[in-house]
Amino acid sequence: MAKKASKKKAVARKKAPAKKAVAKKAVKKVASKKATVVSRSKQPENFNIDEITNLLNAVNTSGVNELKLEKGSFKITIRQGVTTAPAVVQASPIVQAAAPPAPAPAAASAPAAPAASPEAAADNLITVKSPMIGTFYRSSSPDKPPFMSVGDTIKEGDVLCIVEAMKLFNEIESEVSGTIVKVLVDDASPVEYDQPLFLVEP
Amino acid sequence: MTLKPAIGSNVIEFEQVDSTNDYAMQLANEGNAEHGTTIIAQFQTKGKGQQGRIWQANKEKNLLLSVILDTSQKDIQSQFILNAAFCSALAHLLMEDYEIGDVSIKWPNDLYVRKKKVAGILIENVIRGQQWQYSIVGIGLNVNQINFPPEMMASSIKNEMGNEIDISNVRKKLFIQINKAYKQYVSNELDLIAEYNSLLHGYNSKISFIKEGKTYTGQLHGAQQNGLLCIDDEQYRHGEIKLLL
Repeated sequence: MAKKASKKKAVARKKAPAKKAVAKKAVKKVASKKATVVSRSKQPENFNIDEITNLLNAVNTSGVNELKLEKGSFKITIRQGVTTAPAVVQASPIVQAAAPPAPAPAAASAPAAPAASPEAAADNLITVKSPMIGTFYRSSSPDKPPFMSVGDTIKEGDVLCIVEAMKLFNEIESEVSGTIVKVLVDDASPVEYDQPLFLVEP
Repeated sequence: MTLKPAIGSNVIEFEQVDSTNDYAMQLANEGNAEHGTTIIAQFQTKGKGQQGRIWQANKEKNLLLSVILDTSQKDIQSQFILNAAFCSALAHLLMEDYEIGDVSIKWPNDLYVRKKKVAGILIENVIRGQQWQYSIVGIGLNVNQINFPPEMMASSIKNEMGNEIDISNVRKKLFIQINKAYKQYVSNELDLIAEYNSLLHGYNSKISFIKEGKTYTGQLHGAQQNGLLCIDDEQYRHGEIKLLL
């Protein structure tokens, strides 16, 4: 029992910095794109970096999954949690053409998405992450049923999925026992290293 | 630390089995897998090949086997290097033990003599959480089969040599080659990528490939440690491009 608890703790601790990094990266991306296209900008109306930061924080604390805003020709979409994509901010092309340059360090130090994604929202859940870059498969071949579906009970050592990379096929086994609460990635889609794949209720 | 048994010192042999890889995987999943244990079949009813294609093998003509490796001491990031080690071992078998000329590796895991496929490797791994526990290395080597469907563009040792080959002899020699390669993988894995590249079809020359339905040519600079193939200034994952021979 004690062993299980400590493992969970370790998972939770690991999560926070990783997520922060993703959020930072996303903000930075917006900032750097702005910087490159500012000279073409003729639009007076736009969001500045403080507003974007405030929006991010507002979304994080509110629990909404998606927020779309328009200001003049400037559109911004903030998504969190439910999508499989690691990006927190998705800016439309218009954003890139219209925004003023923003100081990147400020963006980087902005408090970023501490409580947003599903595994943090429900902290009793364990996130199973991809050990590598590759393609995620839920079954051993297209004509076979998935290894696991939502609601299935799993035990340590059960096969959850396959991640294929360079024709090397990796059967990912569970380290924990519990129930599959959510499958976070679609079959046959690419996954990144450390990308959340499943949520498991222990 | 106890010495691990050599690959092939423990052999489980079948006249016929669905797939030697599946059988080996089952042993690994049951916790009954010992490092080096090799599953050999004279015939596979569901042999795995490229993209789910069935490896076409005549009964008793070819060498079909799967090796179980305990990889718990190895880093997941070195998976492609293991693939490189086994590809090189097969190339050496054909070139040195059977003195077949014009042997090359077609990225990522096929063995060719001129423009015909003679052998293939299919690696399946068992990963618990983030830890690489076992690798199952499946090998299909055409030995005495002489007739292949023309669309397969395949050949065998016999086709290349002109005479019937003693399969048990091939097996013995293959085990020597793969034990040598595996030792190198454990001790000095980086050299294996250089070796793999030196055997790569089209290495350091102009090659053609298909990407999204269009044909391109480019200078092949070889594979990286992670398996990405470098052509001109680009790097490609398997599945992104198809190399033309």
